[in-house]
Amino acid sequence: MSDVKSKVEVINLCKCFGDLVVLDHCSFNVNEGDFVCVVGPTGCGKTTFLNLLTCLIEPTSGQILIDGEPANPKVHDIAFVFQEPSLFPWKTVGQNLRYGLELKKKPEDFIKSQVEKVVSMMGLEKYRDCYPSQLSVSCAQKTVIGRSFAMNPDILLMDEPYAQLDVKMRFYLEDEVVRLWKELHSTVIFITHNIEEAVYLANRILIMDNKPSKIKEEVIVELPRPRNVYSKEFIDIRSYVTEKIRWW
Amino acid sequence: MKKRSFIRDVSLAVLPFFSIAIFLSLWLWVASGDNAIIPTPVDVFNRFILFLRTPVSKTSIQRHVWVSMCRVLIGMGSAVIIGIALGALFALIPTFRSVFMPLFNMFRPIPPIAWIPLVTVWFGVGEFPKIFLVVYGCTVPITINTFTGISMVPDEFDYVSKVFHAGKWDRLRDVVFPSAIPAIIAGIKAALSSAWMILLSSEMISAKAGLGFLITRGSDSNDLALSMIAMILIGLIGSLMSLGLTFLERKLCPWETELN
Amino acid sequence: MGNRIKLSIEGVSHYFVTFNKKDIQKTHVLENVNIDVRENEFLVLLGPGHCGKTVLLNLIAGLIKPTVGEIKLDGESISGTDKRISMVFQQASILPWKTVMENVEIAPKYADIKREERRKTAQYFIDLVGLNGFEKHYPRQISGGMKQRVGIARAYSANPEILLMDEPFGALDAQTRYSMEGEILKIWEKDKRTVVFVTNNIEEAVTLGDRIILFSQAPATVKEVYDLCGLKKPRDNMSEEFLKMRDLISSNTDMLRE
Repeated sequence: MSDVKSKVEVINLCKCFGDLVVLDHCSFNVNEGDFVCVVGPTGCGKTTFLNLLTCLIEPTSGQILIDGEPANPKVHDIAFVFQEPSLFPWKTVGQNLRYGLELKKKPEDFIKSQVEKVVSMMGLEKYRDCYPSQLSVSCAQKTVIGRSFAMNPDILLMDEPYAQLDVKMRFYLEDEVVRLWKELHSTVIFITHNIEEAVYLANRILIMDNKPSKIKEEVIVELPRPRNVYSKEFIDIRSYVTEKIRWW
Repeated sequence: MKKRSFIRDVSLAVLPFFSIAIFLSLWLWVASGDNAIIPTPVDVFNRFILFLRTPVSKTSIQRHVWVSMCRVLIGMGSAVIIGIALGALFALIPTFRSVFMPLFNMFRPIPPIAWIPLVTVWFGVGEFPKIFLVVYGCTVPITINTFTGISMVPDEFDYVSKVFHAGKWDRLRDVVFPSAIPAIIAGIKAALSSAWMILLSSEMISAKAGLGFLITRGSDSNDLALSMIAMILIGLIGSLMSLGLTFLERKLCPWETELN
Repeated sequence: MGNRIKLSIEGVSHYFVTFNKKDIQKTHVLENVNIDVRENEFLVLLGPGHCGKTVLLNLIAGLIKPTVGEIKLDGESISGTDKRISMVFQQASILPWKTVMENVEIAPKYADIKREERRKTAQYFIDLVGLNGFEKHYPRQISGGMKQRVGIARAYSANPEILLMDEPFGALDAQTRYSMEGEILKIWEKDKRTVVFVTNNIEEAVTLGDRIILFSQAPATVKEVYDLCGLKKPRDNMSEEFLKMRDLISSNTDMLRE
């Protein structure tokens, strides 16, 4: 394996709010095409970390580099998926899917082709002209994911997007995300509490500590896809990560 | 980055003083000049110093303030007692509500100020009619808010009292009244601003002392600076009383402020 | 399980009636629910959100009367709230103007039990839920998970024969939820009573329940009853039996949020 390009480099990242140290010298790399899952206790700073990545707040010290340059939302394409469905209720599915690309002022042809690609990949042909209120939850979430992937972002950040959904839906959407990731060769950073989800999705798992947070450990997951949640290897990795975390 | 936000913070702290300074300058500019009608800030200040030494209408400045404040406080105090009692009776005793609510609703929309002529004819120009008007005006919002607060106990607490078998008085004491306190205090706050308006109107029309009296006196004797002093004093006292109420609220209702 | 039947829900259907300007709207919430609750079992009612499980719990608690059907406790029909039945609410619903101790001792207080005795009972349960030291705290000073524990201690202090729990961990974050599930099992092991526990989380149901009753979407009917007595507690949520049961139930659910 030749040296894989580092897409995101986090170097000695520290963030303090007054006296409260939230992030304490976090350092890690995310390579192009990685699917990284970040797991950690509530309140350990995952949201702060995401806010730093998207440049909503400034680090106290340290750097975040994307493609070798300091992270800058004007230059880099960073897409975000939240826990709650965040579709614009006044736009149709098709219009929602276009939104990110329109913001970045991409050429019309490119927008059309990207949206087409995503619509067919996610099976949303029938819903193109529907409004979010007319969709089921799974379709709404698929649209949200589709919107983010359509932008072909440098990095796709997902903040516990499936936390509120039940098991069946979760498995389904996890498969969708993996499919998109593979086909579009995106780089994904996915935050979750659910260890099973992390082991299912990630090729690298980063375990964060309690405040002041560091990256406690990194676990490489090299299981073939699609992954079998019953297999011994899967359970072993899941047990290992759970042991490491034991925050409850 | 840090430098930028420091400058921003300093600017934000200093700007309010700028706007006040601009206001004072405008006032000075409008008030100076040969055809000026209103007094300048300096005039007002001088008049204030004079007032501290020389009584107006044989009454010192302290006494004027005291007289107005007494009327408001006695009026509000009575209104609080009457209002809470009335609101509670309306909320808890259906018969009382059926009999007296329509009457209450008849009087409700009539503003207290409209009663001034009638009250003056009946009760004259002494203390009682003024306080009466304040009581009348303040009782209304307090009654309504008490009534709403007591009737609308949140479902969740209602269920708690049922599941754990609270008796009637237990329920009133432990669930109904505490959950109504924020609404009652909101009613009192609304009543406070009414109180000053009502008092000033009645003082401006017929009084021998008080802040409202000073306003009218000032305009009658071409002593506008006096009126302005009274206005400023009213503003100050009103703010202080409001602050006092907020403080009281926090003491009585510590759980509400935390939820906020 | 050979335990006798403590509570029986017989042919219960329930409608809510709302009066609009033109007509009367009937919302059909429950349809022909028949459930036997055995003594000292941990029974889980599982179903999608807003399917009517909370309504069923309120019916059992005696807060509302079923439109059709009967609920019997120890063979007798329930009418109104009963001292043998206690409840833990979804939003904890502890009184914000009372301390932890005052909240927990509320049921014995209303039952006119003397101060010393009821304080002892309350203290026992405060210790049991792990809130020792917080007796004089007010709800605003404690976290969401701790508020729920107060709610649980309060329900136990009423010395009920049946404990109803209405999605008590739904509003908590994932890690607190996991730890509370462990806590509730420990408490139940120590002080066994009949528990009827409502949730919309399949994994929580499989972790906690002796039996799981799966409901359909509204109007809720009983879709299936799962007996999990074979799985020993505490359950390993990575074991094959656990995962198999989880998948079995999830493939049968009408689940969707909203």
